[in-house]
Amino acid sequence: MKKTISNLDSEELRLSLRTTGVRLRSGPFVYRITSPIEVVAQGLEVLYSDFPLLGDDSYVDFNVAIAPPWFLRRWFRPKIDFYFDYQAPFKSLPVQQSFAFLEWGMNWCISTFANQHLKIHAAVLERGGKALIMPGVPGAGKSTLCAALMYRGWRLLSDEHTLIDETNLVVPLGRPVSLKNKSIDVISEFESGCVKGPRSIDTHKGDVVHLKPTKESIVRIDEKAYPCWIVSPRYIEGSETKLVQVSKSDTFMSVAAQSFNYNLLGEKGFEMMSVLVDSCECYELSYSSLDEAIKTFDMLENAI
Amino acid sequence: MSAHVLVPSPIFLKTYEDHTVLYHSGTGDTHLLTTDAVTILALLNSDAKAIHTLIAEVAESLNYQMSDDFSDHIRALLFDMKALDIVEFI
Repeated sequence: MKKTISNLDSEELRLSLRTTGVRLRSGPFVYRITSPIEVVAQGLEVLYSDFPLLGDDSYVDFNVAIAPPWFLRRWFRPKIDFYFDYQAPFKSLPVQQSFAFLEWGMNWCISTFANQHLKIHAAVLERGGKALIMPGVPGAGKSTLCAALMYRGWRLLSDEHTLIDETNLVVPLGRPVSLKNKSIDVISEFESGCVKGPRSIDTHKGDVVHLKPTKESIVRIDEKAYPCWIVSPRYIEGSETKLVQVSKSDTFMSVAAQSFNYNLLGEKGFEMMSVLVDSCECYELSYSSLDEAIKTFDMLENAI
Repeated sequence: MSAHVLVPSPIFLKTYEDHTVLYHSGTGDTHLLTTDAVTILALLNSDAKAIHTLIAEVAESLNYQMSDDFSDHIRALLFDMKALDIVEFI
């Protein structure tokens, strides 16, 4: 039986975080996380309880930590840093934002490294082996829609990174869904049983909360999915749900612009993007009702 | 404008129903091309060509009537493509 974070009791988890670190696997990547900060332990306990836990001798892709920058900062206007391989690439943040900072740092590791995949800034979910890719500019409502779909039978592959491998399959990460500001209440109302991590207040994105992925999303973390739809959602208050087919050439350009490493991969990136867009139907979705939007996706899925 | 035009770096094309996407290996840039631009690249596939020859071949390939307007349009397009380093004048 696989060991998960939930197999550690509260004391063990905190001791590991303070000493050897917790090695957890998210899809193909292993993070070693260390932190003396209580809110980090709470967040991992709540949101990552079903994630595979690896032994101290396992290979680590990303060695990360959340810790105070220097001695006095522990008491004087306490702040924390995100460390990657003992370097702090970002400015310090208030200690209260520790868990959001960890999540952003973990995302940064994948955005910056992991170039064996074509990486797109998009939420991605799966049903029936078919992947729905939702790129979207910040504020378009993709994370809200992603969370709602996750609670209505779609398997979460990732809220932030769509990773495409060399065989044109989507590689799941299954990490928590990030919600901001109004979306937190919207999803709390939409799914009363949703499990939320620590709330980070007054961040540069506003208030931020992360949602625990559904059990299915973690249990099937190694099951890749075939990309079938690229849908760019846009939340427009009071609008009717409208799904419009868009050209593959426009989709190619917009998805390439939202890729973290399309340019870096050069000719290989062009080939991978060509195959990806070829395999997908491409749409834009405007919506204001989550229920209506979900019905639209259900119809799309049933149409294939 | 110089007398001849050529494609200096390897390019890769992906054609969809309405437009063609080009990846330029020299600059690493990706562009969306119209049919006229794709036709120019197809005609320049193997060698440098004199501009007036190229314009005549584009007109023939696309079944356009040769005219000053058409010639000006293709020349302007070639300038745009030069600015993007897709073609080079020699």
